[in-house]
Amino acid sequence: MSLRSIGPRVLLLAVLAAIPSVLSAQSSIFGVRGLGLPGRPLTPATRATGGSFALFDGESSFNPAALAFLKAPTASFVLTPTWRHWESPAGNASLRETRFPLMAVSGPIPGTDIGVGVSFGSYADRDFRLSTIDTIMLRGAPVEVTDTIASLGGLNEIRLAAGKVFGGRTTLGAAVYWITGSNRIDARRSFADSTYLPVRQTAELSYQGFGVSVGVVHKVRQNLQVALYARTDGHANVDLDSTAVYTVDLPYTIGAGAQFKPSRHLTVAGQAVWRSWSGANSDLQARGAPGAANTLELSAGGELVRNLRRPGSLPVRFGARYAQLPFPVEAGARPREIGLSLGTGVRFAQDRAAIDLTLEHAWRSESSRYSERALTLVLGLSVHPYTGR
Amino acid sequence: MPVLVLPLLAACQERLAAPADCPNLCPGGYTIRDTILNAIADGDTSFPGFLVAGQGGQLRVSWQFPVSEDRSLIQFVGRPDSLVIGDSMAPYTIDSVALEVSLVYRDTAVTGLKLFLYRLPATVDTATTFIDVDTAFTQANIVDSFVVDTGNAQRLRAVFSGAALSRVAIPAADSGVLALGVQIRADQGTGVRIGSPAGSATAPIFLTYVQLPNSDTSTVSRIITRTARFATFLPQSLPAPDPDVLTIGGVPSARAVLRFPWPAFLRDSAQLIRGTLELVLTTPVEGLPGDTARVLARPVLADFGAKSPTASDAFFVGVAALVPGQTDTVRFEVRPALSAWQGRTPRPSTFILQLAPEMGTFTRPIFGSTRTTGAVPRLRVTYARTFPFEDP
Repeated sequence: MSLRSIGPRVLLLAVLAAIPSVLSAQSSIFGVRGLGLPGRPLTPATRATGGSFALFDGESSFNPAALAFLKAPTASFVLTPTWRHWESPAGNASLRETRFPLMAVSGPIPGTDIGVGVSFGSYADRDFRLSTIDTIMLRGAPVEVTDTIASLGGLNEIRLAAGKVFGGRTTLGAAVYWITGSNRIDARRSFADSTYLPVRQTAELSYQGFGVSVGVVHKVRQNLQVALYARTDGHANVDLDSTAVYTVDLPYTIGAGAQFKPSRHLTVAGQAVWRSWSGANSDLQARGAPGAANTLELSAGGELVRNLRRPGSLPVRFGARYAQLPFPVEAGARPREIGLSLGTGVRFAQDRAAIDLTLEHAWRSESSRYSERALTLVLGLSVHPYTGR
Repeated sequence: MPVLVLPLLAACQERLAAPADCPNLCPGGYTIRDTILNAIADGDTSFPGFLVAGQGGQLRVSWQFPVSEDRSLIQFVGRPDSLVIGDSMAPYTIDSVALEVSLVYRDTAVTGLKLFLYRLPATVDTATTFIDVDTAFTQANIVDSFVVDTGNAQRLRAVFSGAALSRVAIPAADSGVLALGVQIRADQGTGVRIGSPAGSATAPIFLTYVQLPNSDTSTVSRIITRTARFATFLPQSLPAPDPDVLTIGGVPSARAVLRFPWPAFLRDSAQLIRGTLELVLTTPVEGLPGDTARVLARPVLADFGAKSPTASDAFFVGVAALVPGQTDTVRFEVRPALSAWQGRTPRPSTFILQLAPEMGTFTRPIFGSTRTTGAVPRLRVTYARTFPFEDP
């Protein structure tokens, strides 16, 4: 059975079937210590290219300048079921979760060359449930204890953005971000000796911050465009059950990329993004965390359009990605991630709806002690109530 | 299509638990502390007089028992000399009489145990002393006896008919009141516990089987049942109370008040994991061998000293078993009670110690007080500090 024969209705059914009854999140072994695994509020199409199209994708929550490329109002929704395998000196585990990294509404302002958008995306995910068994001395006797700590939540960003075309070849954009979110943390300890009452404490860490970004996309030639992006997020105030406990610096982000169209069927892109997460290092270390380090993310990928009359019908997207991760498990270590991705999509209902699907495989590691493999299915559903400016 | 849908459905079920590699992958971490609190100096006292003999569920009877020498008295409700039949009163003829008492506990290691019922003057009352009745425990006054050589708790029944009825005959001057004394003998000094009127199913009972003349020439059978209206036991001597120790139980029963300091860190932010009240025995526990008693540590609802109202919910009551001869420190798990000392409206950090059964047991523990060197009551509290959730 070919993918074409499956048809858009089957893909729609697959998307609906994947919607879980409980919203929960994915995370990583490298999201435990620190603010979490940095989120990727990108569309499935962009993630299929390793993220390399992000600076040119108006539907992703990234470069605001790209909003000017939107030709129709769009509402999009992305979900990412993930299967992970976690390896640490304490043991291995096979995990699974579902995440909603992006919801966005965007489109052009009729009669203008301005595109605007509002999006709700993931900034950092800190979901985990860790358990360990230890023996401690209580009242002069060894007592076996089982500890479990679970965290659900993380930081999210709400983005308001606009982009405008200047002179036909250059688009500029700006965005403001409200960074918010919370971690609901549940810590338990039970004792093998039943005369000791199990302990359970819960708390909610909430985060608040603001950021701004600017971006530009310039069409150098008909088949080549380049983009630059800069963003600052200031700092986040961290409250513990409504009581301010500390602030943590959030990074500056600088990104640059190029997109080249060597033929009518093929588009390729490359992108580099640098983030100054080391600003959070002292804040996190002061709280006992291993710290944080600057990150560089490199990605490259492309899209092969099979049908020029219907470019949105089952294109082949591919990409690769290398990224440093900001929050190590051990102080001074440099965790990293390498990912490969492949995707496609269909448009239907007279191009008023689209389903995009990407399969992403990531390898994350830090020294030889901690590693993780993640297989993520990125599913996106977008609707365009009407088309054309 | 199933190839696509099934994996997606599988992902709907979250599975996030993974083994942690501490300390690298253990943010925060519990800190468990253990602290010992000595009772507040001179805030602990024993108060006798909560229950008097006979108010408990059992009566003590003993003979040459080093712990205590006791006699029991039982006075039954007066038996009427006529009964209603039809619409008139009629005198009756006694067929037989039965007396029942319950043996609640005995030392099964003691052989040759014999329980005697004695006839006592019907005038016995709460003012009667050991000396008053001891002279009535003579061979001539024996109503009946029971040999107890097997088993422990049992119901004992004596039936009198024919000529034996004279042993339980009630003179008219006694207004139908029958009073009995209970005494034992054995191959060695010992004691037993028998049921008292408060003991419900183990209460002593006096049954009279009678015949009443009917309106014709026939007769009607009736049973006149009389329960005890007064029962007590009389110790030959009472130990003098020592204000420097904490004594609970005894006759009349004593309870002890015990106060502890309760610091703010325990009241406000600690999560209690275990709380143990430790009482040091100053002498081996007296009592009937094998007769386990319990000590209850009840938190008070308000501290009014000896008259403090205590928590009645068993959840909050610490219980420790007490075996005669025991010398070990007595430990109570009292964490639920300590939890009542926390929060915005904490209860007073005070316990009332009480023996169970409170009246009727020979067991009488004596604990060290804050005035006893090396035997001060103490509270051992294990608690968790607030988890450092803010530390990533």
